[in-house]
Amino acid sequence: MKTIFNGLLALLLCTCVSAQITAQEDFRKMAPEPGPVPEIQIGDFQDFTLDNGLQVVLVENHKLPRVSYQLYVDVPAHLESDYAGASDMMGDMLRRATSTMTKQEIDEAVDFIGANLSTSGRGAYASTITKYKDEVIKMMADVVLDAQFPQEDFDKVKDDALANLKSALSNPDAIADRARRVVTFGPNHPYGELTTEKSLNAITLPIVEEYYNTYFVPNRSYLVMVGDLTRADAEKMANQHFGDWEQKLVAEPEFTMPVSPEGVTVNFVPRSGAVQSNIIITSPVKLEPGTKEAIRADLVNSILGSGFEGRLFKNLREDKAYTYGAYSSANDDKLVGTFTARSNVRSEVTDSAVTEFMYELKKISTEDVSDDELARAKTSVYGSFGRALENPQRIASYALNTLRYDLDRDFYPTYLQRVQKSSANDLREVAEDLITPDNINIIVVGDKAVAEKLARFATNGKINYLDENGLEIDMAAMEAPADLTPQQVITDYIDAIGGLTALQAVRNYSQVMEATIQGQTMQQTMIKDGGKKFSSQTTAMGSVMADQRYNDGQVKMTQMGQTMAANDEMTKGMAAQAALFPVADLANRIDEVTVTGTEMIDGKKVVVLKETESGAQYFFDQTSKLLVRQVQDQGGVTATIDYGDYKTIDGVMFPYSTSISGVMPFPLDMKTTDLKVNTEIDQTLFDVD
Amino acid sequence: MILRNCCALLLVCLTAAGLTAQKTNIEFTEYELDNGLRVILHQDRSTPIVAVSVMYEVGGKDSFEGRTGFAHFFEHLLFEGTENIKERGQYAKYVQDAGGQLNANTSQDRTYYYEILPSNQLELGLWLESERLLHAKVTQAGVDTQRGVVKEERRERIDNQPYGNLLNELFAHGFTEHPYKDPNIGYMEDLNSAEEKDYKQFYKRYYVPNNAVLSIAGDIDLDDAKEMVEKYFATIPRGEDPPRVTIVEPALTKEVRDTVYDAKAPLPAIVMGYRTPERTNPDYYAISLMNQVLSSGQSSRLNKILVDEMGVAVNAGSFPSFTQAPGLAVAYAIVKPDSDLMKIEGIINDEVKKLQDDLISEREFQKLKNNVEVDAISGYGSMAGIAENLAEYKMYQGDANLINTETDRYMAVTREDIQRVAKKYYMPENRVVLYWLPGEGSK
Repeated sequence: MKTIFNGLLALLLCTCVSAQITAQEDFRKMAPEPGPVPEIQIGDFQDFTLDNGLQVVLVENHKLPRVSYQLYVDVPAHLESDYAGASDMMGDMLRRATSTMTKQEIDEAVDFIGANLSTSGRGAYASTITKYKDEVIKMMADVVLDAQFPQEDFDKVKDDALANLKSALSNPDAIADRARRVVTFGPNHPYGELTTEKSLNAITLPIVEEYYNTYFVPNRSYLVMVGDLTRADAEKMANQHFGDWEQKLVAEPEFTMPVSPEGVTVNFVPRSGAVQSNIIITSPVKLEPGTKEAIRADLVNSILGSGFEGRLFKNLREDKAYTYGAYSSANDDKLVGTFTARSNVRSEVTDSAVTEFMYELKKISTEDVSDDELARAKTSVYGSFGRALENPQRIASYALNTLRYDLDRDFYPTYLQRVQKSSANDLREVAEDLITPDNINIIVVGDKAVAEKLARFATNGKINYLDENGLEIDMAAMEAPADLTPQQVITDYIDAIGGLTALQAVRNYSQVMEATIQGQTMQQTMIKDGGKKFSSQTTAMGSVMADQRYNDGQVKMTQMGQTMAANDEMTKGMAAQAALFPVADLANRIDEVTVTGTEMIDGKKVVVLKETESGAQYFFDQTSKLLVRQVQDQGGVTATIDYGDYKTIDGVMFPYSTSISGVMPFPLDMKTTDLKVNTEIDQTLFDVD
Repeated sequence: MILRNCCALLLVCLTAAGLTAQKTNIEFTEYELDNGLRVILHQDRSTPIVAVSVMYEVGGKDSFEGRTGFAHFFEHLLFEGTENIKERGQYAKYVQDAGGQLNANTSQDRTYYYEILPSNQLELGLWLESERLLHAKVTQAGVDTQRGVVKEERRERIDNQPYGNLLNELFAHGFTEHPYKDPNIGYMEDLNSAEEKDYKQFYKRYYVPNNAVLSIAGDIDLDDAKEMVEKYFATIPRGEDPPRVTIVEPALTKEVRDTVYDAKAPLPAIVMGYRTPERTNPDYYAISLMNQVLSSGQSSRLNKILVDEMGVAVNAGSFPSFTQAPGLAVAYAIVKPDSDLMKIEGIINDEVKKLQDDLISEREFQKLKNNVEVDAISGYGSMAGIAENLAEYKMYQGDANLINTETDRYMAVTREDIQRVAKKYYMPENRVVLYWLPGEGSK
């Protein structure tokens, strides 16, 4: 009772007091004015050069007892040609062995003192507490200067690189970015060169070693030391660990500056089953680091396409709800800069979204920004600059830029003053050069069905179709022959694998497949009998991982020793699986299938059939008529199954190679090791009780 | 995809470790206003920025029946507007126009709001936070919008993410009484059925100065800051003491085992949760170090055997409980597609058993101490981090100075302590084991 009373009293008090507050405290009604703008001082850096040409940067900061070291090797832009990807592989190799330590020993030494050490094709980075500053710089120097390249590690690194590439090629953002690079810079420019499966496979250990021997030289490198160190420490450590590194001349190839296209180009990468379009609008620009143009480009970009307040975001997301986000960027670069605007939009609004993009690009490149926008862009740049300085690494990156690009030493210290002085007119001048909507590349990755609507944006009225490696596809030749019917495609397929009579003679078959995943083997035995019985046993390391059975309408599934109940959908799926030749069976329900066109797979033309209800797609080689690919939805992800290496058993062709990708982070390559037709079948394998 | 996920899990682990070890020297001033608001000020004039934050002692666990996820939903609503900030979106725009950043987050135990501003905008930060505490306005339009946003957040961060439901499933299996059993973000149906009176009640109960810590770190003048805090917060009336969760979860008596199907997960995983005591329990430190032995770094026991030597897992990790009340210490492995989960469970059990049977080696022990020291002396580089940790120590443990002294508690842990907690808490009957399988469930 007392509590209730107190509660009521408190409630009354609350109401009174807050009424009083609103009456008396007028200061609450408006946001307070800011105090005087604090001066942002960029911490200083020191630098010196060793006899071998290594440039050393020191950013002293004794606030916390910690240090970090970055070795930045300024590898000149160059073509890797047939071996694209070699620099990244070298970076992965670096931390794996020295003449005295294995990877495990390096891991243990780093973990023991709670330090970090990582490497890349452009050098290395390490951090630790002051107490271990000497040990850690020695370890970093060792992995870089005493690098060993064991074949065994190379094989692992190569496997990883191939798996990463495959996984990138299943990601539309990564595909769009590859197309952007080829279209913007051309395939014969270092920035436009793409790593492919072919180039990775061509790389050998000597290629990786050659990259290391050619480019890892002190006279093109910077050692950036940050934190709780004195000048004397820095000089001593740099000389002791990097002083003997021998200098060597490195050729610096010249490249012609890529230029904006004549007019607007539209480039389209078709992607089966895409529900979103990834749009990139971009052109190369001359925008060098450390110039006032770069500062103003930063402001222009802040207004157009950064954050929640950017024009692109407000238009495409807040107003039109085409997308979750729309942004732009202006990148400065000594060789060639870029302007880029991008968004991932719902397929059906692809052309509308491009219209809005073009409207915004036109507007910002021809009209002054408003005073309000300019003021907000300035405070926003000011604020993010100030916040970033909290981290001494930021000062180090300014120092590195200052040396690499030979900037005025006061470029960064006076950065904000130049931001402050920029006028709307200054911004428009830069925007005119930076953003050229009449001479720009539009790149879209998406469903082929949305492509033609984009032709109107192209100056020549045409769409350049590209594949995932940025190579042109001849779409005219891709049209499905008008007289080709689904019935014909399936009939051709049946004839190709042996003909109806041979197929009808098959009562059962048993197929054993093996896959090796990163050194481990798993085996799947699949048995089909009479079209109504199916059994699949998957084993690995001697134990049964999965056991799936279907027997005329009844299902039993066991996974990792646990029995799972089946739902209707699964039962239906298993029933389809039980068919001896499911794809040939499409002939029996041919009105549920349509021919959607032709595509290229591995340089061969294929015709595509689509099942209306499930959306599953079947790709038949136009020459051999065999099924080479199947694409279907699998629990929310798109699974791609590639078939190959067909072999004839008892007059029927079976694919001996099956590769499933898109379901797991790496593709699953299954090879058939044994296949028997009309054989003795152990009927207990169909027991479902 | 898998990599991103591993990182997300790792992050939880790092954050937990980051919270643990400090022996730096962070000076601060603390005091309490008459209305019960606890204030902490830390001055650091090296960069002209300031972090302004308010932590409220209300989290996912403070839900009432049929209203799960309320604290988190409220966090969203409290950006919608106040008595004096009427336009939608205006709250965030003030901060962005000032060149600052803002955000908020909600855990099972507390809700945290912060702004990072140029230091001449300290007063703006205080005004914004005082508006939120004094008279936030919750309109039906705001409720409807944020309900949609929270549902999208749920889809994006949980339903649409591989392993996104991992912690929810662990807690749902490990708890039957205590509200930790419910997802922090709430059930969809609870978000749908919330009514206006629920919001009013929730706001009045928990958004009172005597349930909050105001923590400020950065380029401030202490006297000016105190004056501003007084101006904006002193006249806000004290509220009733908020109710606290008193439910005590009964001990587990036998192992809880289940299989979870996750259509988004590319690889199977095994996930275990061991019931461990509250954050203030002295055993927390030994449990925390024991988990570092298991999984911190590429050379840790679980990583070495599962990832490097046997190559059966792509990633393995473990971390101590991160909740205020008794919770779950987690151990997991994301395994390669052809690996046998039972066998991997056996390996993890063996590693735990080794910790129970034998003392860790002197070298491992030294490695632990080295890492505690590293975290302690280099862990606090940002004003935002300092403000949040000061508030969290004050709220969870009643002592903000633990930011400086907690390292001593880690350093006091012995090898025998680690063996003792392994025996005491890491028993089969005290755990949840989930087999996490890719694919659609049978349900």
